[in-house]
Amino acid sequence: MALGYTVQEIIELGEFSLLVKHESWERLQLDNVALVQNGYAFSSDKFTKGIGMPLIRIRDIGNNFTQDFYQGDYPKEFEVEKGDILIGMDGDFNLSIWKGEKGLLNQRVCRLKLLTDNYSEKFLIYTLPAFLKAINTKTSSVTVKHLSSRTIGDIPLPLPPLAEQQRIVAKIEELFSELDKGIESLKTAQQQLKVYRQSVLKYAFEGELTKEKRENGRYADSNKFKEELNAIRAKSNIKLKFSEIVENDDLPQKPKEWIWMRNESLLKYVTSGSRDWKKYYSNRGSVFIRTQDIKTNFLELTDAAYVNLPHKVEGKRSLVEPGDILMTITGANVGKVAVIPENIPEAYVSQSVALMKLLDNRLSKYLWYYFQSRTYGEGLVGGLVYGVGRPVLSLENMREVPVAICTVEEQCDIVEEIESRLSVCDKIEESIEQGLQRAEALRQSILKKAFEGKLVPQDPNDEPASVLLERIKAERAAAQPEKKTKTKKVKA
Amino acid sequence: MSTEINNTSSIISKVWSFSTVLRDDGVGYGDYLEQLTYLLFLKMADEFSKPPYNRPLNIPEGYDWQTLTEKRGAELEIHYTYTLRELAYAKGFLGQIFTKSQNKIQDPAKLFKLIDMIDKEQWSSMGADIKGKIYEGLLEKNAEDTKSGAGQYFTPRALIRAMVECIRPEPMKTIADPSCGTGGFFLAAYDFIANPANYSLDKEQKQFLKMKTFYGNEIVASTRRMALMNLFLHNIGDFDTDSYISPADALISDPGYRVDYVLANPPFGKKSSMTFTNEEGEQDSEELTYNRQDFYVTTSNKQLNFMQHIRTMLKTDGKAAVVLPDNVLFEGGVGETVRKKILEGSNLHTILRLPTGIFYKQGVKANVLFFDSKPASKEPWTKEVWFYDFRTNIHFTLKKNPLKLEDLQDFISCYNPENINKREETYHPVDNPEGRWRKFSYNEIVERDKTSLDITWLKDKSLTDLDNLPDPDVLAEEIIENLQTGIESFKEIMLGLK
Repeated sequence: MALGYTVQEIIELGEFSLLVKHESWERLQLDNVALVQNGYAFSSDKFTKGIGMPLIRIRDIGNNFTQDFYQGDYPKEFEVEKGDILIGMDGDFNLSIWKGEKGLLNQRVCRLKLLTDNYSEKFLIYTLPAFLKAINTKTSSVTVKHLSSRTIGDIPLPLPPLAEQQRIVAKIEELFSELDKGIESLKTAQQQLKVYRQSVLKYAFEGELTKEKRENGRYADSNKFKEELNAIRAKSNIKLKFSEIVENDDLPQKPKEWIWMRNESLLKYVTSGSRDWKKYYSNRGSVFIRTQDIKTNFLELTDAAYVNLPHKVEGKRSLVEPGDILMTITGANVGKVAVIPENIPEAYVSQSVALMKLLDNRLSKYLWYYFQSRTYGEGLVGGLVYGVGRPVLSLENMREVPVAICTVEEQCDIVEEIESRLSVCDKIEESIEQGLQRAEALRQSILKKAFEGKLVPQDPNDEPASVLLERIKAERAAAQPEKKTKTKKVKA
Repeated sequence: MSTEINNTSSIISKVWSFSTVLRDDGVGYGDYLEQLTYLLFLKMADEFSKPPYNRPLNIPEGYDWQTLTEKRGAELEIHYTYTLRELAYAKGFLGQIFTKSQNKIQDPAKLFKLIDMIDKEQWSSMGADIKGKIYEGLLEKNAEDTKSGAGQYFTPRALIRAMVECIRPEPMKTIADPSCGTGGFFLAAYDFIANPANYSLDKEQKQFLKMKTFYGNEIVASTRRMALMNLFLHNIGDFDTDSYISPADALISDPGYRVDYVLANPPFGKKSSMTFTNEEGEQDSEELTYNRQDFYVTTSNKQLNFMQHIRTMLKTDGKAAVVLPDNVLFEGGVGETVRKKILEGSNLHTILRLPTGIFYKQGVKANVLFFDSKPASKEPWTKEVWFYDFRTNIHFTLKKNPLKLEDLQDFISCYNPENINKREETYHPVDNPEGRWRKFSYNEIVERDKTSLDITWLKDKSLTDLDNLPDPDVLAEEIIENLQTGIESFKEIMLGLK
């Protein structure tokens, strides 16, 4: 009922390009070359977590260790050795070579044991995954898909001449090892890009990106900037304090021309959303910004929540405006920051997101990058986070975070320098992602070529597949009738 | 004494600065080197034909140095062109130098200036080290000009010297390089053997060193020419030697002779192939495989073929040090077979993993493999392989931070050239997990997937150490290198699929 086709029929459907074979090859059923052994129903009351023999269950396929162990007697024929071919019979029908210590074959895991030298085991391992995937695709299920050992035994394997099988395996191994190296290099580059981003930010706030201009006297005195800020504050009747921080060893490096200030010196106010706005949840209305909407350090409103607010409601201070900076103050993503863009619809922050309204929006981008730097903003904020189970930042924390400040002009130059470097970063990230996807496609296309018989040339001097087929069949016939294997009980 | 130094360094700067004059005419370092080679050779032949040497070289009448110096203007250019053509047909050393020669200096006035500059010096009495320096200096500048691709013929000299210091070649023994490029390994070996701090040579040994020690192959005519000239200026070989640098492709067959040492850096790029026009009139390429009885496997992978070839050409107990890229260490299929055979049939005792940024080709990840040839045996000869990781967290650049011999001193000490059987690891899992010198037993290696020798154990700080962030420009370099390595891998696969 679950699999409505024979494997031969699946091949003939023509939907699966890796199930092909070269015209000079034959096919033969898997149970002619390998024994398909089902696992044993070990009783769960003897399962342990570390005592006895490792018990290989479906979840362990692909790992080299087991989660469960079995303590008790067991039939010796279910011992699994390193190098054995295992297939999971439920779910994804995964195939893998066991690389762990000697273990036991649990039910719903089956093992293939090659019965002949006339079929290359490595070739078998390369051919099977495509069959298993095709069978899986054509298996319907209510909950979980099931694979029967009968189906595995029926798989009509491609049969090239033995020498050709070995040539194909050697070529695949050569190409795959190169492919894996290429992928490794790309993944390393990806990791390095992350580090690079942080390195650029650190450089920026150490003042290195604007060092030359600064030393050439391009920028006004930071003290002038302090005066400017104070002037704005005076006009706006701001209650937050204006405080410089004395340089000390707990603070990271900064150029001597800059000033350390508490974050509140730069803000009109800090607030967070109202707890009881939950009652206004609706599927339209004003946007309600939650922590998950800024977890990438960008405001992403594709899956936004909305609140339908009554006219007179407390907490309109939590209305965001372009240039505002948001920061997550609770949960796993604490410390993430986003800048409100120009075209924002009516939106408010939730109680888990803090809103910082800046004295001057020209500071927005600088502060946004500052709070992403692990050496500076993010690190300093991180040091203030409290709570073991649920990390939390208070609004007081946000007010007191030290910020390394320079004039607006220098800030703008810094932002420009950061962005030109990071935009290149983004492009490269994209290319790498594409590259990795193409690499996987390349892997499949190598296999396809292999099974089409186009990866290595045919050799007319090889013993033909038809002869090989006869030999294998004769071999099987001679081996019958099989002696029943005695079940030996072995102490654990 | 000081005037001598001033004179000699002034000739170096004269020759080097003339290259700038020529560059403006579109004559690059490579072309300048070639013309310099021809003219210098003729001048020296002229000097040697006179007292006190009195060794005439049989330069064809009318094409010698004297005749050249008498011409001017357009006549000079024409005569020079004829000279080059004539001499290309000569036999022996002469023919080797002038083979396929062409004039690249179109402006007769500049040509005359160059001839005049050369004419004014007495090259035969100039110290070999000066001449050597002039030539090597230009070779290096040529290699730095990465567009020309000349860099692939130039192994960094610091690396060569370190390899020679490890191998410690002895007098009266033979040394080969089947892909000798501009002869860098020969020079370094010569300097080592001729160094009184290492050996004091008698007359016979000196003569052997000069004339019978070195054997090379270089298939590119212009590179071979530079090698011959480079070595000649360093006092290796002579006018009337049989050319000891063969133009033949070393991989075609067993050379027949066996040598005591092989030092080599085979060309980068895995596949040997030929492009030709196929039946449909399209450009097609065919992989060149070398079918040799003495090889373990038949493959078009150039690197693996050089490994096998070098193994063949060593005497029993001969020693080799070869620069090879990463794929020799990890590639499956034929690569695995070759690795297994080398581990069994010879003593592959040391692998030095090289940093990036030291070769003239970007993105190259290479290693030096040291192995000793052994007689046939049932038991594998390699008991342990010692690894020196000089790659993780190490960065050089060609210009700002080039590799120097001092950087490799630690490796040389660990290698312990006096007795490679008495070595000590610097690595220790608890006391020194960042130690760069570590051994792996034969069994440990053979158990690895595909018998891979691509072994590292140090943590890459560029990935993990967020507290000590490196300079963004340094990181950017590394990212570029990894991207290039990745791209190279994929290119190799595409070639392998054709």
